[in-house]
Amino acid sequence: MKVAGIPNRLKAQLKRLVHYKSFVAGMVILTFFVGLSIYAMVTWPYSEAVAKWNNPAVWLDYPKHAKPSWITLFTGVRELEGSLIIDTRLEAKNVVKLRQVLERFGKPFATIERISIGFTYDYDAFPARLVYVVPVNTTDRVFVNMTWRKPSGIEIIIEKNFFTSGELIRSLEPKPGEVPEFALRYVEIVEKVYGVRVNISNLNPTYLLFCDDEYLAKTGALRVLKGSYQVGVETFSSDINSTVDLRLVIQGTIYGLAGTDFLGRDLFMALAWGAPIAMAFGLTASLLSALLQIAIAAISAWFSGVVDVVVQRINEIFMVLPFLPTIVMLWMFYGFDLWTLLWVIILFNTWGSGIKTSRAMFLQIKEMPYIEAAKAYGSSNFRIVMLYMIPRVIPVIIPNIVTAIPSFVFLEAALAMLGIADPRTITWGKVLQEAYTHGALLQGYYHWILAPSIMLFLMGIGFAMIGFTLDRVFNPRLREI
Amino acid sequence: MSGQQDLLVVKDLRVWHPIRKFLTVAGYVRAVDGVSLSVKQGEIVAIVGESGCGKTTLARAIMGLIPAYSGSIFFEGVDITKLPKPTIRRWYSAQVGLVQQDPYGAMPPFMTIKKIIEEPMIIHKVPKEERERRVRQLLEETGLTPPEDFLHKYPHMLSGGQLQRVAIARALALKPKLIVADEPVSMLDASVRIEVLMMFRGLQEKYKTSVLYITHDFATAKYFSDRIFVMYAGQIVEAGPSRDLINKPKHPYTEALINVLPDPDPGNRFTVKKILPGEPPNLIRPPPGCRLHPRCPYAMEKCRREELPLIELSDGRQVRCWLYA
Amino acid sequence: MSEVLKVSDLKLYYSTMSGVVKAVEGATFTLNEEETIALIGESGCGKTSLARALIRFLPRNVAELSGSVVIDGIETINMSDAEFDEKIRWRKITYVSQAAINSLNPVIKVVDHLIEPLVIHFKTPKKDAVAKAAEIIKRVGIPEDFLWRYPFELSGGMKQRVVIALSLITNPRVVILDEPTSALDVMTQANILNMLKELKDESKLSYIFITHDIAVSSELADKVAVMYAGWIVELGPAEKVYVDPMHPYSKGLLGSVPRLKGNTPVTFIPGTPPSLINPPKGCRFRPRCKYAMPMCEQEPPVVKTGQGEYVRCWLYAGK
Repeated sequence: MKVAGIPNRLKAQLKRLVHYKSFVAGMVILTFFVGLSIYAMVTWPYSEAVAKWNNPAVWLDYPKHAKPSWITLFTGVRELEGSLIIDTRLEAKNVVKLRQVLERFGKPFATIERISIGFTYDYDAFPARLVYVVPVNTTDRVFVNMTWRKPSGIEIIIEKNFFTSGELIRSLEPKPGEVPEFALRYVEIVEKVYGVRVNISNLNPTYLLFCDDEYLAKTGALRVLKGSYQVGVETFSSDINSTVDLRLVIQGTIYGLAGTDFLGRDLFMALAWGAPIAMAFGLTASLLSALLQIAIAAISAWFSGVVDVVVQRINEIFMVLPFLPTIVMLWMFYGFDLWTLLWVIILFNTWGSGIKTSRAMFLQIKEMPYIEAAKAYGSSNFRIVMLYMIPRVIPVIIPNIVTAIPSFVFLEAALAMLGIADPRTITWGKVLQEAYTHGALLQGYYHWILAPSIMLFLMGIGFAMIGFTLDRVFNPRLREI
Repeated sequence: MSGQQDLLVVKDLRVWHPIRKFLTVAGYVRAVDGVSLSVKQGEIVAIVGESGCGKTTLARAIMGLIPAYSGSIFFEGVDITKLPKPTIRRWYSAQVGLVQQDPYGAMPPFMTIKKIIEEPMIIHKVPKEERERRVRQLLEETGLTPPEDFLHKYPHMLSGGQLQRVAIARALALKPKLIVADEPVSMLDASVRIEVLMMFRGLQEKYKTSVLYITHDFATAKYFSDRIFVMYAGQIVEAGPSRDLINKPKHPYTEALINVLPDPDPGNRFTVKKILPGEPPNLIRPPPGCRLHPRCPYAMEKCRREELPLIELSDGRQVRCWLYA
Repeated sequence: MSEVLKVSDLKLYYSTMSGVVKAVEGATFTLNEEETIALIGESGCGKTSLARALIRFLPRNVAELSGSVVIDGIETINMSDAEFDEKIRWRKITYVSQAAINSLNPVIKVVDHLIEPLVIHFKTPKKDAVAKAAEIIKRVGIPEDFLWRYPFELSGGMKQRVVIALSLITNPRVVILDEPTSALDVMTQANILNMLKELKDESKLSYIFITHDIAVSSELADKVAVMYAGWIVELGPAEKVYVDPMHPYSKGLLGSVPRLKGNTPVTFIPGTPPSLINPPKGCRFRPRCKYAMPMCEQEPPVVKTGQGEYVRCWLYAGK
């Protein structure tokens, strides 16, 4: 019964909305985000997503800074997507394991193990890096000799040492001023075969393992050598029960729809989860601050007198309070999560110039003849405010709420850039902030910055298009003839 | 008509708007200054005057929307100036209806016609079935037929004349004893104006409602009202039965006003109207004595000094002028 | 008497989101020197549109403007806006709009409002323009020292006089007065009408007087054009139209005016004016007309009833 008929009118207006291309485009964008949100929530429930995102161990085997995989569609270069993992403990394919116990005087005194892994690498681009793990389980020491045999036949010894029990982890990545031992051996081999001494300073050591030696010797440049590779591990230990395994992780250069970040985290997960969080954040902030605003403004305008004076003075205090410094200070003192940040933002956005504008609107509405008529037939103050004044501004407020949603999402992103962010929640702003602090642009990891930026931009455009169209339909005076 | 009871009696009513400077009151705008009038049951009384003469302020005071400075407004013998606000809201607001000037502004644009007419009944707790029946009846009575065509429309879909009918329906919803109609037809087109007034008059007779018709237009007052009170600068200057007053105006102000009002006549363009010089006085410091004296062609020495009450003449006419004292 | 304005078959259509609005159709009339034509009719009948078509004061959404408008011997209908501005507006014809009172900028002195057209369109030296303003403001009955005041210091009647002075300052042949008194009190209205009568005699002006108030229109009109739904349904001299109107709509309109003198009963025209987007077929007044005949479903003829007079009604066809 309450405000009967409004749905009818709304229906008519919504029907008219469909005639606007901007509205349809906005709805397409919004549908995309809703779909993305549903996908995110179904794939990784919230707590699981947060836990996974914030646990670097989960992401160890993922390639770091990988580009989105669809990029190869444009470049035409074949690249390794994700990581090529070969673990001798888990698989037998491409793995040959030989174990021999040496006996002297009928008694076993030592064990020799030969592990050999073969794989084919026929991509056009180098892998980003090679990580190998050698789990050693022994009571004594184990001598390990690990060799890398390229398709060209060149064999490089990459480990030659005694190890005690434990996990040897090597990650071959460029470290300034540091050249791994095997690299020096490699240079010597190349010199021996081709008679050229190549300069390998500042090169990614992983590349040396995958490069075309002849090409390198002749031109000094790197090129992938395609073909089958053999990795061999020879161990010798006096502990006959000792075991040695090998886990090889060849990390590629492309991954998934959105690539990965500095920890190898799948950015698509962040982009997808960013959508529901951004929409929930933006919508709550926009809706609540608008509703609070009109409620406060309506009360202030209708009751006037002391109520108005008190409300306006409080409002003016908020208006002179600088938003950014205040929120930085609050964050320094209390440090809050995303949802507390939301309340703080709502508080600050409710008060301020918005109340002045709404109050001005209400002061005008208050003088409308129909308000006087309502007083004349005995409406209570509450009824007048709720049923006569507030509905009048709804058509003005709804488009504003919609248009303001992305501004709150942007605000969250901007605050994240300043470091004011929930450390655990996944937001586009946080991704951007990490990209920024890790110099994504300087290093050429454009996808890391562009993807969340495009999401923010799309969300802004989408809501703006819907909001502006709503405004044109609800407030026809602005509509051109 | 004389045998009937007075429904509304206004006695020496003053509505002064204080002019505040800092915390003190620096003066008053004497919008209504000593008005006495009465409205009988079932009677239509017109209050005619130019803009700023205080007629709308008088109407609002009678509606109980603004406080009186002094004087009394007796409605069925109850002085509503002494009533507390909640009583006015609960009781008095159902006894008087209001029809306003601007048909477009008088309706909440977001409510349907049904809801608009229903609102007063909802507030005064009329049962739902009764409300539904009444809304249809009112729409039929005000000529908005068939009601189904209008129930679910919004004000912007109706013409000015139709909206004013809705306003009259809303004012009649609670069957009030008095309707205050503040320029109800002045914004309507000529052809519609008469139609609405005639319909209003018909309903007024049917419901036996009294009407206080506030207008600047003598011509419609002549056709629509039984008695006319002429206001000038916050005071009643002349009162009497409508046709009588218009045919033989007594007060110089009424006389001047009626003289300048044209009837459609091709001869008009060859004549120059006699007008009163000057403009209505400032209501903060009205002139002493008769308020018209600075503009009055008959002004005498006495007029400049002494104020005078309404003088009773024969045949129910009253005038506030020394010429008749 | 020389002809200052000759309008023939003027048509003005607007395009809107809901369709084409046929605001004015087939408007034909002439206006002589020192003559006043009153355009009367209910709101939305096209009187203001007609006036705006004459002065080229039109919104952007005009769909069609055709016919012929000859102002002081010059055909203007095909003029570009720039040419119209240069040759006709201010020089030959001026317009006092309904909202003119509120169009005076409250913080610009009266004198600056008045001299603006002279300085801008006629390149008059400022001193001469001020002298002219002083002269004109006295003619509209305002003391000269009011020149140096601001519009917010003036009453409504005074502002209306200033607006009228502004329309006269360039010595036009024709002044269009669009509801010049409807916002004013009766006394002020009478005062302004008196002034307009005097000015007309003094300056050999012609007025196009637009009003919805039939009684007020008779204060100035020599000729009356009754408009209904975009058509001039009757055009005739004041003596005829006010006393013995021919068209059923004119009859109804005159009958709905409450009279102060005498006891003529008032009547009304039932129904409401039609939409100008989808006007009724044939005669546009047919649905409200008590004389409607089957014939009226065809477009009514324009029946000449005298020199420059006509009525658009089947009742008089063949007479």
